[in-house]
Amino acid sequence: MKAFLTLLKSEHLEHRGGQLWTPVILGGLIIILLIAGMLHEGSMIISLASDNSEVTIRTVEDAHRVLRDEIGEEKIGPVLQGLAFASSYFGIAILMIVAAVVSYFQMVGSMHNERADRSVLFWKSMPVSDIEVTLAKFVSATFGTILLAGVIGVAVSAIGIIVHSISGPLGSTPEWGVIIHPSVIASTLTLGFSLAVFYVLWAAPVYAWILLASAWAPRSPLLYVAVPPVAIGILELLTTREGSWLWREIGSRVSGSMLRYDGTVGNAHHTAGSLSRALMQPVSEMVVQAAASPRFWLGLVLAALFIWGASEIRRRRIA
Amino acid sequence: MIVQANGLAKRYGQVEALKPTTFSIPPGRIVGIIGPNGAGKSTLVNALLGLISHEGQLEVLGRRPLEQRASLMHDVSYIADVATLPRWIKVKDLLNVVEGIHPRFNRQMAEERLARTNVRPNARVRELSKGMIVQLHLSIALSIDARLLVLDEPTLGLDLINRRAFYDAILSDFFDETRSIIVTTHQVEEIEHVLTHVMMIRQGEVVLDASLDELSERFAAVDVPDARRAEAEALKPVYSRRAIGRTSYVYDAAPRDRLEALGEPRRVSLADLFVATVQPKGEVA
Repeated sequence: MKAFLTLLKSEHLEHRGGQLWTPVILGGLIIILLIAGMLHEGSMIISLASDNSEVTIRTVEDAHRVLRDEIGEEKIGPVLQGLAFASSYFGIAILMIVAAVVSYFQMVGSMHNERADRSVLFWKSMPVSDIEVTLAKFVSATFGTILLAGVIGVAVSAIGIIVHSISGPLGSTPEWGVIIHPSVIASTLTLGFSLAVFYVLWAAPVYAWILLASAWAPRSPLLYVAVPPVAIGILELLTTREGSWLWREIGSRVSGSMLRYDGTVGNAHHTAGSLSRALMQPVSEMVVQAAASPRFWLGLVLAALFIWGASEIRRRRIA
Repeated sequence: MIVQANGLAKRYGQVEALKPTTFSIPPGRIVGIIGPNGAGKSTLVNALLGLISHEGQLEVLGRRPLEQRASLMHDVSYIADVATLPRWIKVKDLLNVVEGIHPRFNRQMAEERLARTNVRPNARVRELSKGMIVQLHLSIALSIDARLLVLDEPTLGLDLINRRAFYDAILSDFFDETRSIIVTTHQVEEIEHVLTHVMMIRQGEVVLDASLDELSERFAAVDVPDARRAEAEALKPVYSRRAIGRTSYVYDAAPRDRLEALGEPRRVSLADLFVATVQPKGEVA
């Protein structure tokens, strides 16, 4: 276990640019945008209030009062709540989505780079098996990259929330209080974590295929990753009328179409308790959906076979 | 037994990189594998290290290298080629990684070794000179408590002083009667005094496998004046080298008294033996 963790750490050191600096720099930008966005949010609220009232509005506080008086707590609550939710947590989502893109690129080079720079001859002098190394590369590129970006996203959100609470246009509203309630924060983090995990599990056969191609490729791994599925897809297009099943399958797994997240935030007025439950709802839905889906399990079996194949290729291949 | 090979062979398509070879290496030996480029030295070494598939039977420290490489590497330390350390890593991170992976790695020993070099702990491998990379790799390889040390052209890129220091370090810090060392090299003169045994390879075939003591008993060289060349060649030398007015002949198992009649027999240097043994047949004078 210690060796495996060290391998993960080593993978991280090798891919620091993608795993750490990309989300950190992006996170910095998000914080800047968030602060700039508070002005925008303020003007949005003011214009929303102006459109619905004859009263002259000078400040955000005026706007809040007018909105609640004129439109009513029931109608404006969900809107403000959606706004507060988005400005609190959207950093996590953006960083994880970018990390998902990064993860594919890391996987393309994962098994190939060590052969290209001959360092495989050094790594093979260490007492770790090929399957351990291969698994470490798979886990690092997928869970490592996406979850690390998620952790940085949480830090970005924490900074954003603090800034908002001090001086944001929503910082003093009851909606804001609901969004930063501990149970809502916990549910949001659980949902984010589950989305990352289920994204990787559903996309696992695609990731593992890339790993296998990277292990096999004598040169330019991207070519070896792309050519077989493109060729099979074209063959399907030529021989069937339904288009390419393979391309649809890859597309739906890579795009995360099986993922669930709560759509009621911003549409219904929530208390902290109901919002927390609403956020947890999709987590259990994803578990149930995946557990009952042969497609999910077949994908995992295929992924396991590809990873094993990549490991067996590595055993025999040093150049 | 450290290495036990029975009919060990490797074929790349039609090319026989290593012809069926049977040999064993018990503990307490320093074996030099000597041969020209492309002779099959690296193929042999790579098979021992579980880096490539092979034909025939092969056991290293009681394990089949290709199938049990991870377990084997607990007891084997090697440098398979120059500049194989990952170039992106920092020296201190590399030590951390090896420490985390290898239970027999003595970090303190490696750091002490490195302290005697110009390698800075904060440098990245890609910033180091070729010689420094070799020193770093050796510092790691020699700080692993292994029973077999395999070095493929270990001193490439080192200057003379460091090469000497390197072989001294192997003898004083690593080698003892429970361990063995396998070295491949071109620098034949340099390792002659270090080796206990020699394997010479030519075109995938082991043409000589003997201890240095056996070699000095079997082979002898005599300098013969031109007037007595016919006499000297009648004794079937395996190698000859002409100089002005005389010729040096190398003999394999020629009768001592007849050699003494020709001149003064002397020990054959490994370099001469190397040339004599590995040059293609038919060119032998």
